[in-house]
Amino acid sequence: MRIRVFSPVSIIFIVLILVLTGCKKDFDKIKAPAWKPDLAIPLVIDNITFEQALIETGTVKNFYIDDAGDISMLYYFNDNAFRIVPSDLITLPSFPFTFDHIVTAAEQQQVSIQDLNLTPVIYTINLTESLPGTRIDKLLVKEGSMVVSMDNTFNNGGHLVLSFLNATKNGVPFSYTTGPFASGSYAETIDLSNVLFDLTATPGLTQVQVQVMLKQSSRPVANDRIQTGLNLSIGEIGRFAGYLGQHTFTPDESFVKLTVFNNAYVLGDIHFEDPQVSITMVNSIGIPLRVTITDLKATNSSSVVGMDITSYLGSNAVFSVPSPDINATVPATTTMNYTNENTGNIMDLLFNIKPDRIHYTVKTEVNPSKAGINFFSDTSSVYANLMVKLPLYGHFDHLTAQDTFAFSLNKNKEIESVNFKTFITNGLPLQARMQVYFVDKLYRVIDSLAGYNTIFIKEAPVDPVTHLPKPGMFGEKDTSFFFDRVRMESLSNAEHILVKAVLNSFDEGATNVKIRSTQALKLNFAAEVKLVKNLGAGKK
Amino acid sequence: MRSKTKIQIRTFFVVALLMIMSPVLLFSQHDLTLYNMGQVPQRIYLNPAFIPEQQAYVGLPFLSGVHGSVAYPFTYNNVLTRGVDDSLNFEAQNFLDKVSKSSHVLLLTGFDILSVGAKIAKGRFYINFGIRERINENLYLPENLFYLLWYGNTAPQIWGQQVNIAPSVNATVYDEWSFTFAGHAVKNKLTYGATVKYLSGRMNVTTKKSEFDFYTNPNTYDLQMKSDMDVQTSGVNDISTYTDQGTSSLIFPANSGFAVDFGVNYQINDHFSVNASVLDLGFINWHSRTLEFVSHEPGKEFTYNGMSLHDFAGLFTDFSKYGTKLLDSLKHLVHIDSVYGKSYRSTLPAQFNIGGTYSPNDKNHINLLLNGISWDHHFYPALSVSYFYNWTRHVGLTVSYNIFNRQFTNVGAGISVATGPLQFYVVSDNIPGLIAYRTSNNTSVQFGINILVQGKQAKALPAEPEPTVQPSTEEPKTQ
Repeated sequence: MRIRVFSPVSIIFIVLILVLTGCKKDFDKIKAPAWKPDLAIPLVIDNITFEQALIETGTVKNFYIDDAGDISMLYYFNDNAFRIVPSDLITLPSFPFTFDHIVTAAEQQQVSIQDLNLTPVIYTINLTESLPGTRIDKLLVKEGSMVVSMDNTFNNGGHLVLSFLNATKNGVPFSYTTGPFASGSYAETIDLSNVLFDLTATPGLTQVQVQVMLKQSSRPVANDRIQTGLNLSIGEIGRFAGYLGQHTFTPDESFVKLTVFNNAYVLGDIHFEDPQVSITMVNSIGIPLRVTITDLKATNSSSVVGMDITSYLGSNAVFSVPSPDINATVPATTTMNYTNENTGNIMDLLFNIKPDRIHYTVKTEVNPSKAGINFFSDTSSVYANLMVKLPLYGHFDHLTAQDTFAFSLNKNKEIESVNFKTFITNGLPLQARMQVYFVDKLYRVIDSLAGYNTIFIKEAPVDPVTHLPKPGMFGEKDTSFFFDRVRMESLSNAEHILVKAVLNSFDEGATNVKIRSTQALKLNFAAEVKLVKNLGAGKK
Repeated sequence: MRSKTKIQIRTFFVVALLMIMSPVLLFSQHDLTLYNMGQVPQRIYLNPAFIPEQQAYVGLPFLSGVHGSVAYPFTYNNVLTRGVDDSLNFEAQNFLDKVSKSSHVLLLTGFDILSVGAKIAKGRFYINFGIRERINENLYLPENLFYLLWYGNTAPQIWGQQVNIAPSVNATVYDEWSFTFAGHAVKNKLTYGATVKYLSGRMNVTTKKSEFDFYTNPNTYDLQMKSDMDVQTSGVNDISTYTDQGTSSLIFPANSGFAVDFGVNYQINDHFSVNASVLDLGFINWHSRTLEFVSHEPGKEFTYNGMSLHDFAGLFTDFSKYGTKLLDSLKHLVHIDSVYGKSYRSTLPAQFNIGGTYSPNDKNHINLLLNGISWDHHFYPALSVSYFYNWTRHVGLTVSYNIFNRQFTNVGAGISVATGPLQFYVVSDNIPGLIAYRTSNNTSVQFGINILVQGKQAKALPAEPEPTVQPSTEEPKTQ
C-alpha cells in the first residue's frame, strides 16, 4: 500500500527533473540566432540657407541682411590703427616757477611779538605759451599736480598758502596750505585732479598767489630764508574748451582682408554686380575735420596683381566731417560710399582682380576753416572704419567648394547593405554638381558616392527681371545610392569624406542672380539598412 | 506631485522585465481539475460552499497549497528545430506566428502560507481561515511589437501602416487573509458559503491606457508616433530597496483591499447536484510607493524625421552613435511624465464557476465545469469534464479533459492520499504537458500537504429526508 501511495509522487518528481534537465541540456545546443532586421530610418532633415552655409563653413564672418532679405558679405577694418585722441591735439608742458623770501630785522621784531602775514605774491602762467594758435577757455584736469619744493633755514609753526585764483574744485575756490615751516629741504605735492581752470576772461592765463604766514616765535631771525620751487604739471586733460589750432594727420596705410568663399573664390569666379567700399569717420572730438582718401587700392597676393583706384575717385576722395554738437551724447559719423554708380564703375575694376586685401590711407585735417570752438573730453576720439560690402548679387561661375570630414565606419561587418536615399529641394538660384569621395589616410580615393558621375542639383528657375527664383519653384533631385556588403567592407579603410561642390548660376554662370536669406536648400536623407547581428545566446 | 523629470529607469526596467519574461514563463491557472477533487480541503478556495469532508484540517504552513504553472504561447517544437549537427535553431517566424495568435497571457498563482478549517455546531457550519500569497499577471503583447523588434520597421505587417506596439501589463502581488463561513440549508440539500478577504498589496502594475501608435512613412522613412500611456505602479520603482522596509511595512504595506467569494451547491437528488461560485470580487487601494507613468501630451502625434546636417556630419566618425541619438530623440519626443505619490485602485480578476455532478454511487462522480476569468476587459473561458473516483476514505483519484487557452489537448489528473493524519495531494490540468513538453505549450502542478482530522463524519451531510408527520429533533446521521 505504501508503495502505491508514493509512486505517483515519485513519478511526478522524476518527470519534473527530466523536463528541467532536458531543457538545460537543449538550451546549450541552441545556436546563436542571427538578428536580421531591415530598418528604414530618417537621417537628415535640414533647411540650409545660403547664409547658414557660409556661417557653418566659416567662409564669411559678417553679413548684412536688408529688409528685402538681400544678403551682403561685410568685411571691416575697425581697430585702433587709425585713431586720433585728445593727446594727439594738445599736450601741456610743465610750468616751473620759484618763490624766495629773506626775513628782515623788522619782520623778526614783529614775529617775536605776534603772528605775521607777509604780503602775497601773484604769479601768472601762460598755459599756451608753447602752443601757438591754441586757445584754452576752460580746462578740467584729469590728472595733474603742483610740486612744492622747500628749502628753509628755520622752524616755525607758520605755513605757505597757495591760492589758484581762477580755479575751483567741486565749485569751491581752490587753494592749498603747506605744513609748518621746517629747517632744511622737503617737498609737498598738490593733487590737481578735478580742478577746473576757468580761463574765459584771460584765455590761456592762470594765476597762482603765494602767501607766507608766520607764527609768533623767536624764529625766524633776520636773514633766515624761505626758498620755494613750484612746478605745475597737467598730465591728462579731462575736459577742454577753446581752440586747438590746425593739425594734419596722415597715419600709416591700413587694409581690410577679404576671404570671399575661401578657395571657392580662387578656383571659380564671382562677378559682384554692386560691390561697395565705404569709409566711415566717427568723430566724438568737438573739432571739424576734412578727410582726403590718399590711397585706395586692391591687391591679390596669389597673382601679385594690384589695382589702385585712388585717382578715379575725383572729388569723392575728399569729404568733410562736422564737429558733434557740444551737448551730443553720440559722436558725429560721416560715411563715404564708393560704388560703381559714383565712381564710373571703377569698383568693378577693383574686384575684378579677386582681391584678398583692400588697402587705404586717409589724410585728416583738423579745423580746416581756422575757426570755431573746439571741445573734447578724455574719452573723445576720431577714427576711420573701412568696410567692404559685397551684395550677393551677380553671376557665379564654377564656384568650387570643398570640405573634408573625418570618417570611420566601424562595425561595418554588421551591415549587410545600405540603400542611401537623398531628397533635395533647391530654392537657390544656383545649380550644383556634387560628389562625395571616401578617401584613405593618404587621401587616395577608395570609393565615391555617385561613382564616376556627379550629383547634379538643378537650380531654382530664375525670373530674368528680378534675378530671383520664381516663387514656389525649386530645383528637385531624388537619388539612391546602394552599398552592398563588398562596398561597405571596402569603406573600412576610409578615414575621410571629401565633399566637393561646383556652383554655377544659370547658363554656366552667365546669368545674374540674387541670393536672399530666405532661399534655402532643403535636405532629406534617409537610409534602408539591413543588419546582421549574431545575438550570441546559447552555443555559438 | 507631478514630476517631469527623467523617467525612473529602474521602474521601467522592472516593468519591462515583467513583460519580457512573461512570454517565457506564462502562468495560467483555472484550477479545473482541483475544483471537483473531493477529499482535498483546498477546494473551498474555489467554491466556499465546498465544505471539506474532514472534521478539520490544518494545512502544513507554506506547503499546503503550492501552485506551479508553466505556459507558453508556443511549444518547444514551434520555435526550435534540430539541425543535422544536433544543434537547435531558433525559428523566429514560427515564434511570431504563435505570439500573433495568442497575445493575451495570464498568471494566476500563489501558495498557501497558512490554511485551517473546521466544522462547528456539530457539522452544521464550517469555518475556514487562510493566509495566501497570490500573484496575478495579465499581459498583452502586441504582435506588431515583435515584428518591429525582430524584422525592423520594413516588415510587411507594419510597413506603411499605423500599428499599436504598446504592450500592457496588469500585475499584482498581494497577501490574502480570508475567513470563510459555510453551512447547510434547505434540509441539507443546499450548501452555501461566503468568504471575506482582507487584502494586503505588495506590488502592482496597472495599465489604464496603453497606446503607442507607430507609423513609418514609406517615402521619406519618417517615423510618426502617438502615445497615450497611463501605467500606475506601486512598490516597483524602488524594488531593490523593498526589503529595507520595517517588518510591519513588509507585512502590511499600507495597500489595503477587500474581496469576497460566494458559492453554492445544490443536491438535486441522490445522483445530481449543481454548483456555482464567484471568486475575488474586490479591489486594492494602492497608497505606498506609488509611481505613475503618463504621457505628457496624450494623443499628440509627433514625428522624427532626422537630424540636422551638422549633427549628422558629427556621426561620420562613429555611425554606431546613430542608434543612441535616435533613441535620445525619440525619448525627447515621447515625453513620459513620472508622477509620484498618487493613490489609485486596482481590481482583482474575478473568477466564475458553474458546474454539475452526476454521481451514480458514492464512489464515482462525473463532473462538468464551466469556468471563466474576467480581467482587464477580457474574458478567459475554460471547460472541464472530469471523473472523480472516491476509492477509499483515504484515496481519491481524478482525471479530466480541459479546454483553456485555446488548447484542446489538456488532459488533467490528480490524486489525494491520506496516511494517518497526513494527506498529500497533487493535481494537474495538463499531464501531457509535463511529459511531452516539446509539443505542449502549458502545464501545471499543484500539490500540498494537510494534517487532517477525519473524525467520525468523513463525508458531507446527506440531504435530510422529507418531513413526514413529526420533524425529527435528532441530528442527522452520516453514513
